[in-house]
Amino acid sequence: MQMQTFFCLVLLFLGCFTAAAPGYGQVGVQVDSTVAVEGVVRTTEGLPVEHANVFLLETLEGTLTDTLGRFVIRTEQRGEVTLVVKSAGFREMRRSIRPDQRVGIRVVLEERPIELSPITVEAGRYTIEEGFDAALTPLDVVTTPGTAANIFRAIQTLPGVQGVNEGNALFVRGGDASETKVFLNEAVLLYSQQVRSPLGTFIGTVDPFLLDGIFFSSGGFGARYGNALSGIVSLHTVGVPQRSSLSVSAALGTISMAGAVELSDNSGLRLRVNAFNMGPLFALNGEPRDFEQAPVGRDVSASFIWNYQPDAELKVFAIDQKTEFALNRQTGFIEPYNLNYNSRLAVVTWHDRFGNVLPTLSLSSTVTDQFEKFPGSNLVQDQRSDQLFAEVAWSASDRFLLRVGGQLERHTESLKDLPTGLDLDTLPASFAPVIGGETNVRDGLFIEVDTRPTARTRLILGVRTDHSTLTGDRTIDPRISAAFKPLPWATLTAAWGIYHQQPAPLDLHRVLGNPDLPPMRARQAVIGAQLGDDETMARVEVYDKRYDNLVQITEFDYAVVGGGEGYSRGADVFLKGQGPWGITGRLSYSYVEAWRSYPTDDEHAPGAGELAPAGFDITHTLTAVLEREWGTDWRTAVAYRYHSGAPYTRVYDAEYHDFHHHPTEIGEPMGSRVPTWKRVDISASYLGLGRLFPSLDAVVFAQVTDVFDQGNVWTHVYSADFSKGRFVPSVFTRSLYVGASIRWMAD
Amino acid sequence: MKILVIVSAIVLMAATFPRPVAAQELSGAPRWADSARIAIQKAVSEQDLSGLQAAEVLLSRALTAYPKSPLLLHYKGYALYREASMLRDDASHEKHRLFEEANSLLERSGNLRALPETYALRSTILGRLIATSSNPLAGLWYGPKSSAAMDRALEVGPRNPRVWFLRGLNALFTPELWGGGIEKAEAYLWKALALYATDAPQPPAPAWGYAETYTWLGRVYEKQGKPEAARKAYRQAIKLQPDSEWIQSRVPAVFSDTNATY
Repeated sequence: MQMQTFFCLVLLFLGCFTAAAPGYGQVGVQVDSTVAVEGVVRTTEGLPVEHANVFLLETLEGTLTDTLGRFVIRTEQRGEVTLVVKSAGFREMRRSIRPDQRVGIRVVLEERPIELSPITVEAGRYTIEEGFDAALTPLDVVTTPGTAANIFRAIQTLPGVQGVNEGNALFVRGGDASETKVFLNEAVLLYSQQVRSPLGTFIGTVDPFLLDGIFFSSGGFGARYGNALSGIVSLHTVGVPQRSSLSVSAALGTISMAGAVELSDNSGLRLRVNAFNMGPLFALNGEPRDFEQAPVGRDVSASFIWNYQPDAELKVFAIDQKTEFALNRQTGFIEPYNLNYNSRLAVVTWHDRFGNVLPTLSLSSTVTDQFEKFPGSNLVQDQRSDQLFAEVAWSASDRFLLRVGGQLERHTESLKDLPTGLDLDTLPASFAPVIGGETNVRDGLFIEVDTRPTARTRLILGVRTDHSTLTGDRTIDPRISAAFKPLPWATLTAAWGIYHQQPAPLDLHRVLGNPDLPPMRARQAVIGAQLGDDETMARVEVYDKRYDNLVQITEFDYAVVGGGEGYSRGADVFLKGQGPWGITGRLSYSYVEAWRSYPTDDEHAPGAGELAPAGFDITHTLTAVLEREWGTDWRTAVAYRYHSGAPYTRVYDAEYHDFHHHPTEIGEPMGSRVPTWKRVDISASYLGLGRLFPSLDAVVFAQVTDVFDQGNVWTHVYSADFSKGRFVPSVFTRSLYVGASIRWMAD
Repeated sequence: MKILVIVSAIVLMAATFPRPVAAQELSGAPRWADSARIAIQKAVSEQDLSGLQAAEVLLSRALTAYPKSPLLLHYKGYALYREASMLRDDASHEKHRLFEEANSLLERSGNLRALPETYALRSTILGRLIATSSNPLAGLWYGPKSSAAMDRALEVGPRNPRVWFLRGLNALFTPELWGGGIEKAEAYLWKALALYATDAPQPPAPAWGYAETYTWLGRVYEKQGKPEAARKAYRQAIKLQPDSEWIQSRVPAVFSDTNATY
């Protein structure tokens, strides 16, 4: 009996002990290990702030202040945490505290001015993104007929870009393609400056699905951007993937695969591989050139993104691109041509936020090498550019933003000539005699103020200075841009500025160019107006540009000459909106008059010193796109493109000396015109496949370019002795292009 | 007595035996988004304005920590839409302000992540901005934007029941001349109901609207002069959410007789 009683007492004791003891995950027994964070919130006048949202950033534990502005937060947190106080009409306050210190916290909130409605319209500026004031969306880049998902071809449909040839380079407001710079995550993309291949002027491209924002300025851009005379394209790659995904796309002549991995809530990886071969496209549709090898190429890109803080990001991005093709007959005359082009870019970008200060840093390295094979010579042109970009922005208030920054770039170019008949792949690089090479180190500094003097006006004032080791010159560029919103749906814009651009390093070579060339200079003035915004928009701008110290290439000898002068003036119109029967559309039109000194390397040569239309003086450029959706599954579009013919010079006589023929009698410099160029493209997309596979996005598309087989020509060339001339036909005749894209996304 | 002591001891130990804490499947921004989702749903069901505002306070904090979270932005916009919808009709100025703020948040969310409900809600809110604006030209300004937003919603989520529900709601409040009408509303609401039957969104994705769709379908049938059909629709709504004060407040008394046989 006693043992039984003892046993019961032991059991009872164990039960009580278990109930009383603290333990992980024990239900019904709690020991209060919280501490109280107490305080009061007041205005600068000492008045209590009621209903302020007070919380700890790390755990979101918090409360609202009472009528006396007091708060109490109970938390188990120890160590340093961030106390945040938010209230409508006041600036947010953050402070580091230690909850276990049990000290009363006194918070004083500063009043915040009434939030200004944004003024995002700037002279000459267009964006390609989802959102307010965007001229195009990323989907437009992919679905517009004739753009082939190429962002530069999509930018070519915006006003201010002339249709000079059939490449994807950007000739902006009467300027050469080399006068427009492309930035990727603040790093300048390096393209061979004069890839005037027999197919047109091309620059490499970036897949639009890699980007979350494309900003294009056709002029009037601010002091942040230097070393560009005409235009700016700024590309930013996408951030952390919100979910893992895999997509595969295949079309006639191209195949690509992309993957995104969400490593955590704030970090991720992206990878994209793309390969193209235009052989199947030409086999199906025919082509007017005699390709020994149709254009082929591939690009591989990868990025790692880490948002280690909500307002901070570290991003590493790299891309490797390759393109090559070979022609049996370059332009109708017996001149085989072979191009092999490679480029690699790596860029590390960092930005963060410390209160109202936002620093940005970008470090990049780009390498390009281009091999061109002509009869009798092989040219190898290499470039390397290492850049550092740094900027600090200080947001003093909603009405005032100050940006200060700088740039350091080391740019090396070299040109080598390889003897013909040798196998490039087995030849050591050191064998190739170097014709010339130069290295330029350029440093730039800028300061810019972005201010809102009134609720309806925005003013951006800036100045930048650049120095080049090759020219030895330091340039000063003041710039101003203004916007005024007299009505919520109307914005007036204006911009004025000085722009300098250094000649390419090889243009300053003592043999290949001229070491005494000064920096090129342009003065731009733009005024414009925009009515409406992203869905319905009408925009018009007029501009005037004056050029000095232009570095030019002679028309027939391709020699580098300096001291050019010129001007360009014109008007751009952009319309976008919705019409009857569910049709949406956009129209862009540009008128330009671009005249420059006719470049000759001999002051006695015909046309020397005369002002003449520039090679990119395309008087009228028009692009019209109409789209319609049929239900939820079908989308169709038609695009019409028109541009005036490019100018060229008639040659009536030539003589032979110094190893080749030189024109001796010519017509009016650049006084003749190639026939006008026009083309109609159509496309159709089907999105209904997604219904069969709920976790997949799928689209099938088909495009026909040059529906009416216009037989366009894009330039005029002469034989080597100038006895014969002919127009060069378009690379792309009427062509059918089909493909599909499938994307799987994790839940 | 002994038995009593033994049993008491065993019960005490069993009650306090350590139990494994349920694993938290969500963390970070998705976790807070899901908490807000649940809080909003409860507040809407109970017609609890203060509960809704408490959810907005939570979202405001979470957005301070995760300012670029598309889900948090979506739910904040959604909460403001619900709050505006709860206000009386004569509070049009405050409604307009809340709808504008909701639209702005949803636009930001849509720019970060293509969630069908984000675009569909924007479409509905843009329609509400026309109704609550004192500007006679508001329809010309917001109308095309509303259509474009709904097109985008359908493109991104062609089988999302909430998109079809909101499309039906838009049609109910849009004149036939401008592409709306009661027949279209009925068709879209039925489409939504068909899709709700197989709808199984995972947290923190939106999961609202099933009972609400039946409620609005009942309203459509009332307008069409079909009382029996309306009664059936309301009955289904109550069956799905018997405790919802929102549904109870919208079902006319003549249809809410629980003893009636349908």
